[in-house]
Amino acid sequence: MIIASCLIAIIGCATSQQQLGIEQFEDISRQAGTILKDCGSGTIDAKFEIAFSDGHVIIERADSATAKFSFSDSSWHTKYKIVGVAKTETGYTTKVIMLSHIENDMRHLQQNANLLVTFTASPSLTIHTVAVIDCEQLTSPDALFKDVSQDSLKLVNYDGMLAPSLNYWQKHISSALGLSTKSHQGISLADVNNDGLDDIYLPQPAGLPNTLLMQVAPEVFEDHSAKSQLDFLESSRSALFVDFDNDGDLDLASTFPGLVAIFENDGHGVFDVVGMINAPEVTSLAASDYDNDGLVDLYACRYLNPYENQAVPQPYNDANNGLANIMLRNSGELQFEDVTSDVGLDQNNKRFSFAASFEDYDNDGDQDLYVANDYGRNNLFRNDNGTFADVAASAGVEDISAGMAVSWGDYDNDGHIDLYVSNMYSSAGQRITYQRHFMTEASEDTRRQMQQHADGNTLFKNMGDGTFKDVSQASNTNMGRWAWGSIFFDYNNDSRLDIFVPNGFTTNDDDDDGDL
Amino acid sequence: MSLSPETEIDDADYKNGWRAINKLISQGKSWSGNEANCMFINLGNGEFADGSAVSGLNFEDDGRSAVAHDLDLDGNLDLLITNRTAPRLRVMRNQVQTSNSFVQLKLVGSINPDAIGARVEVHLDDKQQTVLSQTRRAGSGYQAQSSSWLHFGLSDNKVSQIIVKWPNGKADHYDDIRNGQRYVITQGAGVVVHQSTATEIENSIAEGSLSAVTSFSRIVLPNPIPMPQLKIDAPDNEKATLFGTGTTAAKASDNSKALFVNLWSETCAPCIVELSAITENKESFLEANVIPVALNVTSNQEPANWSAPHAQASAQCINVLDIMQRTLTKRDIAMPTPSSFLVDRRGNLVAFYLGAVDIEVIINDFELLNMNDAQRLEASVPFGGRWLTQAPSPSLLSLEYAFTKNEMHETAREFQVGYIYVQMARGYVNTQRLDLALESFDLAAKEGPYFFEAYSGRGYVKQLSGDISGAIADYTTALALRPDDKAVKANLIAAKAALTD
Repeated sequence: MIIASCLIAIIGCATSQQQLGIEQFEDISRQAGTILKDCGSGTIDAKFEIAFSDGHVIIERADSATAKFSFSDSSWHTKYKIVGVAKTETGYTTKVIMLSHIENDMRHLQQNANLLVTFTASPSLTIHTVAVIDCEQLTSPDALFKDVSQDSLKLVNYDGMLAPSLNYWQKHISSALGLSTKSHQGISLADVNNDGLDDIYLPQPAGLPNTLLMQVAPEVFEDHSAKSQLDFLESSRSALFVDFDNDGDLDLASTFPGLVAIFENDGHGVFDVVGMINAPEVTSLAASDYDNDGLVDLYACRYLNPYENQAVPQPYNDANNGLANIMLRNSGELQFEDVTSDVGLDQNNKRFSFAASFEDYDNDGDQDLYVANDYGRNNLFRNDNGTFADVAASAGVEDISAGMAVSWGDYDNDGHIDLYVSNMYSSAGQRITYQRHFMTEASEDTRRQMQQHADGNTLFKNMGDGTFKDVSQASNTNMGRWAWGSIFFDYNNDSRLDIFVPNGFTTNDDDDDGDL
Repeated sequence: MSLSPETEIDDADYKNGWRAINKLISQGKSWSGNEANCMFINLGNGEFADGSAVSGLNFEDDGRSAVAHDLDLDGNLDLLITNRTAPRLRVMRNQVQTSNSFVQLKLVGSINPDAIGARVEVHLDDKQQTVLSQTRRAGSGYQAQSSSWLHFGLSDNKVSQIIVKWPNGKADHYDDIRNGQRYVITQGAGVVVHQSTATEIENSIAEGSLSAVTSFSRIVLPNPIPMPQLKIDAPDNEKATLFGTGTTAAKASDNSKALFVNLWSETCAPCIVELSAITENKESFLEANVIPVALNVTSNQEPANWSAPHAQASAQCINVLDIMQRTLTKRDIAMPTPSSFLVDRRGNLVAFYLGAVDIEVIINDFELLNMNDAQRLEASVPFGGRWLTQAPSPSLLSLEYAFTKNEMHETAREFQVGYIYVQMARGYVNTQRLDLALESFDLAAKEGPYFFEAYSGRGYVKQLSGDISGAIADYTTALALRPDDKAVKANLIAAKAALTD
C-alpha cells in the first residue's frame, strides 16, 4: 500500500550550493526525517525465514533482495532514525534505521530494518527510492514483560510517591533543599531482613525520603523506610548492602552530599550510622575484597557535574579534570581507610566517573575493576595481588565515549566474562561527526574520538588472553540510544544472557518526539 | 561539543555551549527525551536481535537503573526499572512461557558471608558441555546492586555439577542439583534447598502520608526568605511598596498580619474562581490573621466583591516575583497567572503557589505561619524523613545572583552580605560569644537591608552585655522600622525598666 504521493512529496527546501556546510547537511537530514515521518508508518514485505525461536519469541530474517519497503497505515507504530547523509551527483542518500511494530490480542509483531533512502533536495525535497539493506521480524504471542507495579506496590504509596516524575517534584520541593532533576539515583536489591526475599532500596534526590521496600510476600512490597531509619532526605545516589563487619547481617554504604556514610544493621533491619567518610560528589559505589583479606572493601566513583555548573569536561572527548575516585580499604570494625595511591589506583584517575564494577576478568583469582567514565576513556584496573595497573589501552577497552554504566556477563558461555558498556548513541552525532566539515582543524584521533561519542554502547568479547574485542557492530548491540544502566540477564532461561538497556536523558512537556 | 578545545585549556565558546545546554534543560526542554528502552535478545551465534517493542519494556521514561530478580518465584527473571520521569519505579513481571528450566543459588561464604567475588560455574549435561559462569558482586550497571540470588537459565538441560570458586581461592564441587530449585550453598557446609520464611500478609492498602498529586505547584520554603521590596500602584494612583527595607506606606499591609499575595488578571478564568473562593472564605483568613492582597498584573481593575486590599502590580513587582520563583524552583520557566505568595508578618516568604490553588490547601497552609524552624523544615518536604547531616540553608546568594544577572541591582542588594552577618551574629549569641556577635551586628547594620534584624539583634546583645542605653537606642531604631514587633517592644520595656532600677 504505497502512498505514492510520498515518493514525490514536496516540502520547502532548496539549495543549489555544491559545498554543503554541517548545518545544511543537518538541515537536509532533519527534513528527510520529517518527510519520512509525514509519509507514515513503514513495513517490510519479504521472504522471512526463522533464525531463532525460544518457544515464545520467533525471530526471522530475510535476504534483502526479497525485501520491499512500503508506507503503511497507522496501525503500525514506526520510528525512523536518520543516521547518515551522503551527497551524490544528483542528490543525497540517507541511511535510516527503522523500527516498526504492531500489536493486538493475538500477537506482537516487530520489524527492524536498515534502509537506504535516496532523494533530491533541489528544487524541492523529493524521496525517490527506499531500499532495504537488511531486516528482521520478531513475533511473540504477547509482550514479554507486563507492568505489575500497581499490584506489586499496593501496600506502598505508589501513586503519591513513586509514580510522579522528577519534573513534578521540582514544582513541589524548594531548590534550597538541593533537588536535582537529572536523576542520578540507582537501585539496590538486598535481603535486608534475611527472609529469603530480596528487598528494594531506592536512593532518592533531596527532599524525597530514601525508600526501603521490604518484600513481605513474593512480588509484594511494604514501605519500611521509617522503620529501618533509612528515610534520609538528603540526595543519595548509590547504596550497597554488604556485610562489611562479617557478623552475618547486611550493613550499608550509601552516598550523601559530601560523604559516604556507613550504617550498621542491628540484625533486625534497623540501621544506625557508624561512619561518615569525607568524599564530595560521589556518583556510585562498588564493593569487593580487592586484597583478599576477608573484608569487603569499597570503591567510590566521583564526577563533577557540568549540568550543575560544577565544571566543564576538558577536552570533551578525553576529559581528565574531574575528581579522583577513591579506594576505601576495609580495616575491620566498619572502619575504612583511603588507600587509592597505595594500591596504584591514582593513575589516570581524574575522569568523570559514573560507574564501576569488579570482576576477575583474567581468571587469576583476584578482583579487577572496570570504571565507566563520561567524556573520554574508561579504566580497566588489573589487580596484581592487591595493587592495580590501568591496562585499558592494552586490553582494548578504553572505549573513548560517554561511559555511563558497566555490566559484566559471559554472553558467549566461554568462561571468560565479557563486558558491556553503556554509552550514548546519537543519530545527530552520527550524521555530524562523519562529515568532512566536522572539526576540520582537529587531529584525526580527535575526530575519531568525537565520532565514537555518538557510536553507542560497546560489547567487548573477552578473548581469554587478557584482551577484549569490540563486537558491538557485529553483534548488533550498539544502538542503545542515550543509555544508562544496561544489564545482562537471561529472560527466557535459554542459557544465553540477553541485554536490557534503560535509556533517555530528560523528557519534558515539549513536543520533542524523540530520537527514534 | 565540536567547540571543545583539544587540550585542557579554558575556552569561552565551549563553556558557553555548556551554558546554553543547561539553560535549555532548565527551561523545560527535552534533551534526548522520549527515547524508548532497548532489549537485545541473544541469538546464540554471537548476534543479538533488537526486541525492544515485543519486550514491552520500551517505555519512554528516561530509564536509569535496572535489576533482574525472580520476584514472583515462577522461575524466570522479572525486572525492576527506575526512571527520571513517571513512573519512577516499574515492577515488570516476566510472562514468557518456555519449556526451559532454571536453578537459583544463594552463596554464604565462610570468610565474607556475602561471598562477594565468588565465581559460580554451572556445568550442563548437554553435548557441548556448556558451562555458565556468573560472579556474585556488589555494584554494577548504573549505581545498582543486583540480587544476591544468582539465576541460571538451563535451556532444556540438566546440571551435571556446580563449581563455586570462593573468594579465598578454594573451590567446592556440588552435584545432585535438580532443575527448578532454589539452593543455598554454604561454604564448607554443602547445599540445601531454600525454605522461605516469608509469611503471607494481610491484604490491605497503603495508609497515611498519601500525598495527592496536584495540578498546581506548591513550594514550602525550608527556611523563610525575606521578601524584597515590591512596587505596586495603589488604587488612588499613589506609588506604594510592599515588603523590603525602607518600606513606605505598605498600603496593603499591617505589620501584625501575614499576607497572601495573589497575582491575577481579569482575563484569566481560573483567577476569578480562585479569588471568589478567597472571598467566600474570608472568615478563615481573618481568623488566621492573614490579609489577602490581590495584585492585578494587567490593569488596575479590582476583583469582584473584593473587600480586601488590591493594587496593580508594577513591572518591577512581576519581575521580582518571577525571578524568585524561577530561582527557588530551579526552573527557568515563566510564572503563570495566577500565582500566590504567602508571607509572614515579619515579611518573610513562607510558601508560594504557581497556578490556581485549592482553597483548602491555602487555609491549611496558614499553619506554616506559626511554625518554628524545625517544624517548617519538616513541612517543606512532601513526605516524612530524617536528615543525616544539617539540612540546607536558604539560597539567598542564589537570589542575589539571579537579580544581579537580570540587572535588578536594587533588589539584588537586599540579598547581600547583611543577612549573612545577621546569621553569624545569631550563631555567636547562641554560643555566648557576645563580642563577636556585636561586631557582626555592627557589620550587618552598615550593610542593610536587614536593618531591622541588625538593630533588634544588636540591641539584644547590648542588653545582655549590660549596655542598657545602647540597647534602648537600637530597639527604638528597630521599632521605627517595624512598630508592631512584640519581641522588640517587650525587650524595650524591660530595658527601660532596667535603666530605671
